[in-house]
This record gives sequence, C-alpha cells and structure tokens, in this order.
Amino acid sequence: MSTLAETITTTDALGQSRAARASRSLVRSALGRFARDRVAMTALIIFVSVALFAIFANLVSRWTGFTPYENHLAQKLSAPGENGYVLGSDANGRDILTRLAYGARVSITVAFMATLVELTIGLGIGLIAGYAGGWADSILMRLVDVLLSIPTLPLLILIATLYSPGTYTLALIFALIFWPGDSRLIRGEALAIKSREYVDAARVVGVSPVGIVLRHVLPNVVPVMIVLASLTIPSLILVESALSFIGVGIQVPEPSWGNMLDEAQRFYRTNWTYVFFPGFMIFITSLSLYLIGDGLRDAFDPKQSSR
Amino acid sequence: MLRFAVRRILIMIPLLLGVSFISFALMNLIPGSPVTMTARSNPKIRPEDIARIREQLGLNDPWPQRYAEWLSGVVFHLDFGPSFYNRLPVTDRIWAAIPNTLILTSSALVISLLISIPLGIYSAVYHRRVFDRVVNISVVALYAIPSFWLGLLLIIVFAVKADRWDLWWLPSLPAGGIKSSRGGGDLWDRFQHLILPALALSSFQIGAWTAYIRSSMLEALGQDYVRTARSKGLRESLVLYRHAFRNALLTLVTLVGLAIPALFGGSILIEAVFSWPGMGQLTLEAVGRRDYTMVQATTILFAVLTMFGNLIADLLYGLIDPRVRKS
Repeated sequence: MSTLAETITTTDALGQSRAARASRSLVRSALGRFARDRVAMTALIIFVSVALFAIFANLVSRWTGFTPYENHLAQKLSAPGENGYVLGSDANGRDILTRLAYGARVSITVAFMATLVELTIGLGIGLIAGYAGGWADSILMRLVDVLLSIPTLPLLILIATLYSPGTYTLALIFALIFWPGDSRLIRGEALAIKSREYVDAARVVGVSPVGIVLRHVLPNVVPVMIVLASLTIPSLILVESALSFIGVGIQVPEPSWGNMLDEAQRFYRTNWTYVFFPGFMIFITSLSLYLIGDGLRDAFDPKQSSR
Repeated sequence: MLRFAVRRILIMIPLLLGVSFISFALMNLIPGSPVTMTARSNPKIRPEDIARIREQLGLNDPWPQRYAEWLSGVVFHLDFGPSFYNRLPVTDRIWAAIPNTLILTSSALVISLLISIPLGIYSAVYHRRVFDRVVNISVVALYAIPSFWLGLLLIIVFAVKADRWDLWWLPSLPAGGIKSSRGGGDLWDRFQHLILPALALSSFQIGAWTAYIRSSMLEALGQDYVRTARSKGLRESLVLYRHAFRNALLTLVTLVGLAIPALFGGSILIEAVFSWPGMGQLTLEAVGRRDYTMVQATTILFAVLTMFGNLIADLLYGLIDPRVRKS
C-alpha cells in the first residue's frame, strides 16, 4: 500500500498516475498469462476462424457458386454434398454453407455493436452511481432494480414485434435493455476503487471529480470491462439467434443463424443436417467466446483461477 | 419476518404498475395498430369500416384513458379485456396456459438442482482431476448451447432416430405436445411428454449453477471449520453436505431467484420447439396477430410470475439467514 506522499509525487505533470500505469502493465501481464492458457487459445483460434468465415463471406459465396439469396426450388432440401451443395440446401434450394457465412456477419455484427453500446451506457451510469454516491446513486440503482426485475425475453419480443428492427436497430435495442446488469457491476468496482488511498490523495491535492474518475477510476475498471465484454458478446449472440428463431429478430430472406434454424425446424424428421448446422454455428461461436472470456477472467485475476 | 415479507410484497405494486405502463405505452406510441394489419390484409376495406373497427376496439379514446380503464378492469375484476383478434376474453386462455408453463419451468428448476448440486460438489472434491476437468468444460458448453437447438437435437435423437436408426437402446419419446392426442393423458404419458422440454430448458441453469456450486465448495473446503469437522471424525458425506455445502446454499437460493426470469424466457423458446401449450406459445401467437390485449396480459403475467419467484427466493433467504430480516 503506497503512502500519501508517494502517491502525490507519482502523479506527474502528464496526469499519468501510478494507477493508470499499473493498469496498463496489469493488462500486459494478463495477456501474457492468457497466451499460455491452452483452452483459451484454442477457443481464440476457433473464434477467429468463424470471424474470418464471416468477413470473407463473399469469397465463400464465390467458391460455392451460390449467392445467399438465390432459390433453386427444384433442388430444395438437398442432402450435404448433393447437387453441388457442400452442406446441403434449404427449403428454397438456397445453399446452406453460403447462408451460414452471411448469417455469421449478421450475428457477430449485432452482438459486437450491442456490446459496445451496452457497456458504454453501463460504464457511464455505473461510474456516476459509484463515484457520485448519494441520491444519484440511490435513484440510479433503484431504476436498475426495476429494470432487472422485468423478464427480458417477453419484453424483447414485444419491442421487436412492434418495431421490426434491422441489424443496427436490433443492436441498439439489446443495448438499451441489457445495460442495467453491467452498470451495477461497474458501480461496485467504482465504489471499491473510490475508497483507495490514492484516490483520497488525488482529492486532497485538488484533482476535480471528473479528473479522478478519468485518471484513477476508469483505468482500474478496464480489466472488469474486458471480461464483461467477453461474456456479454456470446450471450447476445444467443439472444439474437433466439429472437430470430421465433421470427421477430432478423427477417428472412436476410440470413441469420437463428432464422435459418427457424426455417429448418419443420424438417427435423427428414433433414437433420439442415437443423444441425445453423445451431452448431451458434453453439461453437458462443462456446469459444465464453471460453475466451473465462481465460481472460483467469488471466486478470490469477488468484481466483477456476482451473 | 412478517414485516419483511409485507414490505417485500408492497414493493411489487409500483414495479408492476411500471411494467404495465411501459408495455401499454410502447404498444400505443408506435405507428401501426391491429386495424392497419387488418387493412393491409384486406385491400378492399373501406375507410368507414376501419373507422367502425377502431370505434369497436375503443381505439379512438386517448391511450392514457384506455390504460386507466384497462387497469381498473385488471385490478377490480382480474379481467384483462377482450382479445383484439377474436373479441373473446383473454383471461380464460391465460388461466388455461399458466399451469402448463409452471409445470415446465418448475420441472426444469428441479432437474437443474438435482444435477448441478452433486456435479458441483464432486467436481470440487475431485479438484483438478479428470472428472473435474470434464465437468468444467461441459459447464461452459451447457452455458453456450442454445436451448432451442438442444431441444431440436433431443427431438431428433429421441423422437425420430430412436425409431428409425438402430438406436434401440435409447428410449423413444414424443416430439411435442403435452399429452398424446389419442388415449393419452395419464400421468405416465404426461411425464414422457415433459422429459425432453424440461431437459432442454434446464441446460443453461445446470451449467451456471454447477459452476457456482463448484467454486463456492472449493472455497469452503479450504476453510478451518471444514477441517474441524473432518478432524472430529465426521463422515465425509456429512462434512460435504452439512458443513461445506450449507455455505453455498445461501447464495444458491439467490441464484435460483435470479434465474426465474431466464427460465420463463427460455420456456417461450422451448414451448415453441415442443408445441407446449403454455404462456410462451400464447405470447408468440398473440404477437403474430398483433393481439395487443393478449400481449399486454402475457407480458404482465410474466412479470408477476418473475416477481413472485424473486419474492419466494427473498423470503427463503430471510428464513435461512436471520441477518437479512433485520436490515
């Protein structure tokens, strides 16, 4: 634990506090531990492959010779390998592999964008509640309590039906619904950091509250934010696919893994591979992201390691 | 304890008002009403017909007034109003659907507890051994698996392939519904119909709770009081369940309470997969028909069920831990 005098002298002219520098080296050493985690690295490789599959969806389309939208009703419900369809064709004779690649774009984009916005809101509210305290804290946290007690899926179904959202609107809706959990977590972190001695020291030497939050509190919540993001992304991939599965998320013909599974489910008796592939993509993507998240959590907090 | 319970119940009233108000406002502030849906499906409809339908449905009144009327109907007569789709009272259909959803979700809850408690305890006991590693990976897999996909896979394996492939050693189970259409309906038949949806619905909670129980058992097993219990010569099972697990139980009760919204949400998906005639099916059907009264009613009831679940969890928590009651 640093003494008051030490902390004051280490706050140099550039405003680079010891906390900020410590946080950067913390991130670096955590990434080192992460790189030695075999499970997490395997998961990372799997996720990067899925991401490349999404990014180069147009190359997949050129290789298979199908666009994601062209119907070939004569060849509908082909088995994998039949009629030149690598993974088979769907109920309209569209190529499943090509649609999986384009669907990956949609699913991953929605989840990443929503996470970004959600964490920004959660961070803002959490920092304000945690650092300001007092009535701002109680009002914000009561609001969070109310929002957390509403079952999210019925609410999402309601909103998605009313607004029939596209990719970006859907991401925004997710962010607006799911931020409360994050803000509560970040508030807890901010509260803990607020009571540290170096924050007292900064206050004593006259750093403004905004300055303290930006230079001392914010750098210290970075590890929590990274872990939170890595666990939010896969959960949002699952939520998006669930909504698309029940027909209120991404609308056909635009492919998403969820609506592909929705179209496939009627054919479970005859074409089990049609049902298998879209769900498998959802599964390995969220699984790899969760394992990456677990690895990051262990890397940032080696004492709490679960393995 | 009584005061704690009463206060806890009183808090629910403003929460429910808030939920109902938000969902009512959401549905009324957006363009497009059930009437525009009718108009779109029937291009020959005359403007005066639209006006007449609007009048019948009471859509010409300002929505705050309609909200007040609706609210008094719910509060004083437990009547959620007539369906926008077929004018029948929605309350009847909801009463028929609620038990089915409750059966499904509570079975999933029981299955989750029955599987995750021993799994969590023994993976902590066999820390870092093969069993623990397998459990550790499976837990994340259960977290990540979309329950509706798992449901479809279970149907494919147990309802389709068990008949068709040489999977004779697997039991053949029904693919959906709550009972057989012909000759069914006895307890055994209903049980068979319940197994697959309840299993699919419990997957996420099994993963989450096993992980939690494992980590809190790991913590407890390192504590002095566990060593004391062991050195007294207590049987190992007694040490595990009476001493170490009791510690985990407290937070587990909270987790069960927190899982209830997720269970109801999940049941919407699972009901869709297994054609289970519950609240989720009702919601999805109503959403497709833009049946606002029905959607409003199911949203509120999901919120009520969630809050009651949380209430029970809180009260249990109060019973187990006297410190909560006093604060």
